[in-house]
Amino acid sequence: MSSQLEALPMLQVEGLQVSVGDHLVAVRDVSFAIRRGESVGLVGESGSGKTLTCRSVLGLLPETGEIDHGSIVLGSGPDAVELTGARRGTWDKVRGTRVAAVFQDPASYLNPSLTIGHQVDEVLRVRGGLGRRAARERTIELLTEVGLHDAELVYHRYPFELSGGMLQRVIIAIAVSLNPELLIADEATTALDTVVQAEILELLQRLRRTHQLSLLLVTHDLAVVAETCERVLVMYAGEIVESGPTDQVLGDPQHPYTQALMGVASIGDWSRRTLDTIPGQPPAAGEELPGCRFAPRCRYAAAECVAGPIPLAPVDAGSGGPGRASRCVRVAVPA
Amino acid sequence: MASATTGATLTPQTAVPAAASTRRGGAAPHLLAALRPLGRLLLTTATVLFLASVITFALGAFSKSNPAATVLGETATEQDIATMNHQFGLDRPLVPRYFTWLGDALHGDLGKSWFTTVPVSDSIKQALPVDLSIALLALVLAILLGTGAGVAAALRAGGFVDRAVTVVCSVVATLPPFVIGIALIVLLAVKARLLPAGGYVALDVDPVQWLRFSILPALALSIEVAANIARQLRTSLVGALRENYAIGAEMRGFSRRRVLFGHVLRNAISPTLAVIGMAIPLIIGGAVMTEKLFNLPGIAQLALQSAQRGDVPVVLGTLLVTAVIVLIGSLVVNALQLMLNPAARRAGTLTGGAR
Amino acid sequence: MTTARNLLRIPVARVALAVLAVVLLLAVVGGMLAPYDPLKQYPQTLAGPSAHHWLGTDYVGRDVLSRLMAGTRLSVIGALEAVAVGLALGVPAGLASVWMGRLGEWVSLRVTDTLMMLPFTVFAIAVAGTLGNGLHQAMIAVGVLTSPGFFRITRAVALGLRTTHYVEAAELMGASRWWTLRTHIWSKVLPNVAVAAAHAMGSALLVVASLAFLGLGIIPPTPTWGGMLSSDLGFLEQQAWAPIFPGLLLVFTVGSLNILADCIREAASGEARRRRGGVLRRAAGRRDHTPIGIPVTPVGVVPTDEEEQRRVVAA
Repeated sequence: MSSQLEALPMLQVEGLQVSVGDHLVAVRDVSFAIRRGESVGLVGESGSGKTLTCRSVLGLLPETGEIDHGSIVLGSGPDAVELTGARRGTWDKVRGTRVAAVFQDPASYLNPSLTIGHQVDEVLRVRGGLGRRAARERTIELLTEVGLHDAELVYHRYPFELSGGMLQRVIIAIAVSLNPELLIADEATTALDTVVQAEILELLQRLRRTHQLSLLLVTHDLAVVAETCERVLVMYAGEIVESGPTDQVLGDPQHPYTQALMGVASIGDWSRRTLDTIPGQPPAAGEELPGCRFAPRCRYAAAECVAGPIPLAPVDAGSGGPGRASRCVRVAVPA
Repeated sequence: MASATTGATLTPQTAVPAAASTRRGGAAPHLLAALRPLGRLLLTTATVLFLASVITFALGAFSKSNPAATVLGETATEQDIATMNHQFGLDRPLVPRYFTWLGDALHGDLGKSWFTTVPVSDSIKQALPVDLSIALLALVLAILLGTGAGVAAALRAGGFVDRAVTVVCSVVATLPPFVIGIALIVLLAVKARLLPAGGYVALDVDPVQWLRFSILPALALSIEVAANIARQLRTSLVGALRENYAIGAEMRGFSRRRVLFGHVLRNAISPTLAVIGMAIPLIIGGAVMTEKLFNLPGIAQLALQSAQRGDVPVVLGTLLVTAVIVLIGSLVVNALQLMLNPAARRAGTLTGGAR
Repeated sequence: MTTARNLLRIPVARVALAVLAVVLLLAVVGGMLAPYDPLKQYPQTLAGPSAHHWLGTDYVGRDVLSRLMAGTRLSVIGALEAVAVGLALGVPAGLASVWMGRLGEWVSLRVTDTLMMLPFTVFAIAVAGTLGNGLHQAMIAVGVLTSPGFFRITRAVALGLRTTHYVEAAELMGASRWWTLRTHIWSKVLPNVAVAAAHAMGSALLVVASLAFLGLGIIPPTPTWGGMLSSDLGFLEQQAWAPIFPGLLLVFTVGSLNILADCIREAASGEARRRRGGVLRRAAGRRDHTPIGIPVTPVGVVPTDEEEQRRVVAA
């Protein structure tokens, strides 16, 4: 595959603003792109807007939420589809075949009164156009591919008979069954124990390679991002505050919030005995602030930080190359 | 970076929790799993049947009515009463009488009418088909109308159809069946002269005429039930459409219709089935009313006439037979509920098995 | 009681109570207030509404308005009798079933099932045919068939309470069953039973009307709402609008009772609920079977009808 094709964005989000309830802006000025085959992590604490962003890309905003403005484009060139404001018909065409999702609590996303086999078959037959026998064979293949031994047995089981980890594998099997371009995992491993979590993440990586899948991993867990994502987007209070290649961002954070997060997360630092916390609270949902939304809690805050809106600007830190950005005026200043 | 536990699977990936079967997959283990609760269902049904028969017999036992009074009225003498009581076996002790009566009933013999000495089962065999055919028509109409309205309302919840259905159902539910029946008669039979206001032709004699005479009573019976079904179904469906598994189905790119019919309906239908189950005694009870309204020669007329004469065996027979019919209907509905929801087969809890 | 005060605050409840007060008044003194003797026959038969006879006359010339007013009495008394019987049988049985031990509990549940299974009109006919065609027999029969409803709701409340900590604590400290009952359970049972009773009154009225319609329970020419509907049937050609009067009266009374039941529920549980469709929804008697005042747990502790049914099946 030519690098040019690979460089084309598979998902392009531009200037997304989402508000909930009584016009409270919960996601503001969010722009990012995901290239073909790339794995991107969207990281943030609860309330950071990462879930709403993810739901917007999937067309699953709650009744109280709506996209104020911005664009979400899936694919490029003649295949490009604008997803904001898309109608049910467009979504039905796009979901499953071009974008698929895996959520937390896999058991609840499967129909409790249908067998596993039936549910995987159904996708293949209804949307993949396979006949009954072909679908069954492909289902068994898929179930085996996602790491379920005794796929034949699992085929006949009902969801309530399987464990969480196994169910998540089934959901993943369904998600990749139609060979989508993008797989969005929203806290997909949060409810699983660490061993199973590691297995699922490894599965996702493997599938990325075999199916040329782009991955958008939405999580609050930095360790997951560190392990699985090539690039990371850090969200805080509805905005992207930093973005760039994962090892660079986590190794040399260029935003005070990311720095603080690393302090709290203590990845790989076994010697530390004290528990760091970030003093203060994130701003209330929809609260309008004059400048940087992290400023009230930031140890580097200065007058220029609250003077006006801070853009997500490219950062040319010594260690980083192109592709890094930070929403911090104090950092973008060359040392 | 990755932990050392990846690669080899530490957690055994066998699909079946400890105590379950080791057979290869297939529908067989699930049918067997359904048998136990089915067995319990049969036991409950049998008990209820037994209790119903006891109550019925007790009514007869407490009755002051006797064959002599029924036939001879006020001219009956002590001697007449004693003779006829003996003739009908009423001077035997209660418990053996009950068992004889029950035993005979199980064989289809419900005794003889005190008034006409015609076997009760014969009279019932003549009268029952009238009610059954109309009740069945009513049930079919109710299910068709109710599910149609409920599904239409749920497909576009909050839309025009939904609101219209809600209003209609609310209005209709305040009206008892015989009021609706009277309204129908007035509108369609008296004013518009479209359909007859009364009378009956048996189904096997002339199906078209049967339909002509049956449609109004069946409609009157069905409307209340249809409204209940529509309301319950709509609520269940709209609630279920918000559940995660419906979202999961939506995420696979399934259309609204497929999500509703292929996934949500089968899970959400259980409370609606319960409503249908409760409708069966309603319809049977209502059939009694419509018989009078529409002048149908059914079981209620039989019961009424016999009740007026004090003809106990016929009255008891009709009670027992209608109770059995309602019971069978309930049994079917309960069994259907069991079949449709595999998780409910396990110890009656909804949360299912091991995680 | 705060429930009563809350109740009066709901506007729809006030309307319903007003309607019911009028009906009750009619039941007590209707016969006396009526303009004419309900049994007296006048020469103008099947007359339309006029200055003399506000609602017209029936097929033998009796004043319809007077008959309606006088007929309220029997209909209301009959319904009250039925509900009283239902309460007397259902509530103690429901409470007792919770402490009876597994076999007693199972048997009482089966008896309830049986009573719910018997279709009420056929049963009433059977009672009339065996025990005599009197109002009291018929009403007792209806009462017996209404008792399962009270049984279930009382049982659900008691079940829910039995497993709460404060009842357990009381029992651990040696409280007698009777004391527990009186102190803790009564205040929870009462609002639920009140709601059920209001619903039951509505149903009972309909049943009384149905039975009267069939000719059971009252001997003509005594007027009742149902009896009037029955005789109106025969003369629809001439007086197609005649059934409207008893019909409307019936509908308004039953509707008010259902509305009242719903409002009692709202007043007792202290939650204002969004209402779509407003008055009509309440009047239709949509039933919410979750007991008031009991902490609602998802499954198991307080079974809804469907869950109880399924549990009954599986038990």
